[in-house]
Amino acid sequence: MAAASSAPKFPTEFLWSLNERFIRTLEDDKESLEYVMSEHLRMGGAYWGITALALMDRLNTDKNGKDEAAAAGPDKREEGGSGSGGGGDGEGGKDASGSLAGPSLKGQMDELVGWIMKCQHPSGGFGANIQHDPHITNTHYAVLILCVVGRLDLLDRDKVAHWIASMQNEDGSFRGDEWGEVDTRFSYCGLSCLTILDRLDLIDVTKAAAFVHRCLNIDGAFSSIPGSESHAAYTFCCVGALALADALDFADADRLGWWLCERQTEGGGFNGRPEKAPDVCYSWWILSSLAIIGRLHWIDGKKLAAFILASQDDRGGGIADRPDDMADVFHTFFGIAGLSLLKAVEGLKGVHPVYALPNDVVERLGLPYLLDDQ
Amino acid sequence: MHNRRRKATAGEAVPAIREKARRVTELLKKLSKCRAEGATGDDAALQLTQRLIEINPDFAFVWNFRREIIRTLLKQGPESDVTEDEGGGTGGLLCDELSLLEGALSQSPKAYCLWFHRWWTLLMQGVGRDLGRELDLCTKLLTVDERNFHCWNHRQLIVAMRKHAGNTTTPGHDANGQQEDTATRWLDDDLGFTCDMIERNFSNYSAWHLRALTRTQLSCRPGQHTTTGATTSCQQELQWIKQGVYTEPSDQSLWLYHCWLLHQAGRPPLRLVGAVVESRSEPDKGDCRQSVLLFFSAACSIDATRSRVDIHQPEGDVHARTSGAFSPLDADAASQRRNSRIPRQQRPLQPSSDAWRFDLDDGVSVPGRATVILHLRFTAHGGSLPSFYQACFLPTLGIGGDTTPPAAHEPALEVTYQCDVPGNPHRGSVLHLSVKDSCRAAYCIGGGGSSVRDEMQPSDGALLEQELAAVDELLQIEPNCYYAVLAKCWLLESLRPRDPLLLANYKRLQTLDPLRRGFYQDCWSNALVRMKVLEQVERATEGPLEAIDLSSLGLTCLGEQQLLPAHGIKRIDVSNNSIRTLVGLRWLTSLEEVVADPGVQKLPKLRGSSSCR
Repeated sequence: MAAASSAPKFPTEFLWSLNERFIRTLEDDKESLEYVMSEHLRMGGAYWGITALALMDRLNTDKNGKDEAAAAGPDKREEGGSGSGGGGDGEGGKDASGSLAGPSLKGQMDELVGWIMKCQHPSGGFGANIQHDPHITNTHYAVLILCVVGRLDLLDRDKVAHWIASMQNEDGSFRGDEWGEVDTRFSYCGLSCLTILDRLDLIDVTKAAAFVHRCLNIDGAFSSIPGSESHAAYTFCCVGALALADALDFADADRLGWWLCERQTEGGGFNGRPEKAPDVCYSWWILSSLAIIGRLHWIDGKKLAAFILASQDDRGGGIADRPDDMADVFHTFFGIAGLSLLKAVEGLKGVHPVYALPNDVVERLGLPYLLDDQ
Repeated sequence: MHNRRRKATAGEAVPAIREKARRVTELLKKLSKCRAEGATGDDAALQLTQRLIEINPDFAFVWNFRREIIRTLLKQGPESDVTEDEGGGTGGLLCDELSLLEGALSQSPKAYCLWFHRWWTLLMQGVGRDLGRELDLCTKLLTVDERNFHCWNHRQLIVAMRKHAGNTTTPGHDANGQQEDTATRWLDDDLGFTCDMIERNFSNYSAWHLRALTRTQLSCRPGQHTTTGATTSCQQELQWIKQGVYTEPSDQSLWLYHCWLLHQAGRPPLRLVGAVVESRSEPDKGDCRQSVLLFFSAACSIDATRSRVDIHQPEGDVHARTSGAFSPLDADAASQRRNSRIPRQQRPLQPSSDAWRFDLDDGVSVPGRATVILHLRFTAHGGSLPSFYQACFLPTLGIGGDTTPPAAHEPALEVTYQCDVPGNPHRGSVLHLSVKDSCRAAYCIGGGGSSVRDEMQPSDGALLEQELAAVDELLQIEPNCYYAVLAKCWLLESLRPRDPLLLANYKRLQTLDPLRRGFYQDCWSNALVRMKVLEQVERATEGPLEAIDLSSLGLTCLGEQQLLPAHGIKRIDVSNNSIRTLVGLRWLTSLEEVVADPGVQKLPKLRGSSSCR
């Protein structure tokens, strides 16, 4: 794979306007095959898009997360006003977000929030879309979006919390839904949601941590179920779950840290398992894990940032899994969140490595900070 | 979306693609309608789900509907069994489902939903099924993609299911021995399987992972704990890796496994890294109380009711049990919650800490020449041990029937440490014990007395020396192989922790592998702290060591373990370095003064204790 730094054809600066436009126009063509085929990812897509915009400070919300309405207008943030993003874009203009900027934004937020609430199942859990079955990942995404847009007040917290708690198994693990799949992702979703909703009393936190502990492998990293191979994405879920359960001492930070920093490949990007190809999404999972265990300085942040920036699409906007591939909202979010943890782009807001929410949202909601630094 | 080149899908406007999108939307609408009408017993509905799944196997809601239909159909046909009859019926329904899935998995081997649905179908069939066939399917799919994560996970579940089935179908006392044999044989089979996979491709980390897991589980079985056997087997493994390393020196899979073997050989998962006897005066009582402080390589929970401290005095051969109480060294920190939203009643019953104190009762003290014997029993946090100690995992599924989880173990770990009180105790109020035999502790896993065994692998210096020579040999041919340099460092850490070669090699790694410079810097810094501390401790022959100077050394971090030999000091100077945090000072309980650069994260408080001399 071409090294990001030696290939001038790939972007080297953050493409503010293009990336914003990419996210804002994701839903424009509802008849495209791409859109139809991602029916099952609708809630995740909304979370990735909204949170990416929030990190870019392009949600146009005020301090309380409430919509600033039309007052801000489309010209609130000129291109180039964002430091390193200026000039290098080659976009030259303002208001690339087209129809979605300005006055229509408030209406859009209301529409989004209305849609989320329609995705709630009578049982309390959320589905990926209206009439979909409830699932713990989609419930987590829905709660996170409501956090970002400052509308947690809409939730019947007890109802949601009871549904999540009903997913905990005897051994402390969590099911994804009524069908019973078990996975440490669900442990993270459960612990995160119940911390945000302040209803950890409904589950057995010690047992939840004990299950995650069982997924610790000999290489210091974590897996999806006990006995399976370590994987960077599950490692994030497990380390995040342990941080939430106040059981980070289950992890051997040095050993885990080495496995994590060994994920960085020559081109700067991270892979998710040994001897696999790099992918932008691991930027987030690995960086956040390193941040949680206080070892962010064990990797080459400059090279990683270059890899993420090079994976941007300089025509259509958005970030792909690697340079020259198709961009999507999933990689766009994880790329931006990675750049945020690296503090590589001036103007991007800080992201919390455990909650995967902008730091200002964590602060506004008064969530436990969980980490040493700050 | 992975691995899709940008240009390949630029033709979204092509009418055929729009047409397909329209068709999918229609099918989805039809499915919604069907489901809303409650048509779960409908064969047409089943067909509809199949069509949609063939279009996109990731549509989770379609699978859910399909499971509802199957569940209903199974209920409708009560006369047909759920076993593996060839003759149709609902048994046939589940069999058909498995064949359908087999085809679909060859098409989309990475679709989460497909794998889960297969697992669900198997559970619906009941655990009595021949799981060998299922393992064969895994082998077949792993031939196509040897790193397929989903397939490896599925295999793990099947292995667990097989063990679970074995446990439930052969009850009774007599069957126990046979059951153990079967379990050991299965583990041997797994070991053979990893061997096949690795022989095909040395770079298959998934297979190395299973190998390490299986070897650990095998070594936990009764009768498998002879130290010499473990050494031979470890040597054989090292020899085997060597073949791969010479072919592809920069292959990470091999080195990770190598690191695991060495880690096992040199460092058991939980070590007592130091023990000191601290004396302190209690002015209001006017007497002097002693505590034995214990420092571990990882956080642990000491089961206070089942642990004890004995003092053995060789003169007069006095052996006495000592009365006192265990508690975490910093009880405040151990009980502090970072997540303040965890309710207080949910605190684990056992506090966890990497440093513990045993406060001797009034009037009890450690004599000048004695051996302190610690019989410690650790409870696993929340009753859990990592999977590498556990052979069986079966998720609980809410579908009735065979959902009983495996018998609850109460994993624990029992270790006996022997610590000698040195002849000429210095360092004021602190007495450093020399810890012996901490590497040969006995582990007891699963509660049963039968599984007591020796420490997993030999901590045998000869084996490590041999390996060091082998790594040096490789470095002659491949001087820039950074994994080999790192392996050498780790070997030196175990064998000669004060060898200046360590520092030189950690420096060299920073240029050889600049991506991970920060990691090597921290390793270098830890090694230097260890050497400087020991140097200053040894120099203080005249009296108690009061202060340590670690200023201006270019340090980036301070490790607790490296600083431990200085326990008892009152002052430390760590200024003019690039240290991020002073958390590493937390074991030095008698510190009264710290000189550090401004901006470095400070310790919450210094805990200087008044001492008696």
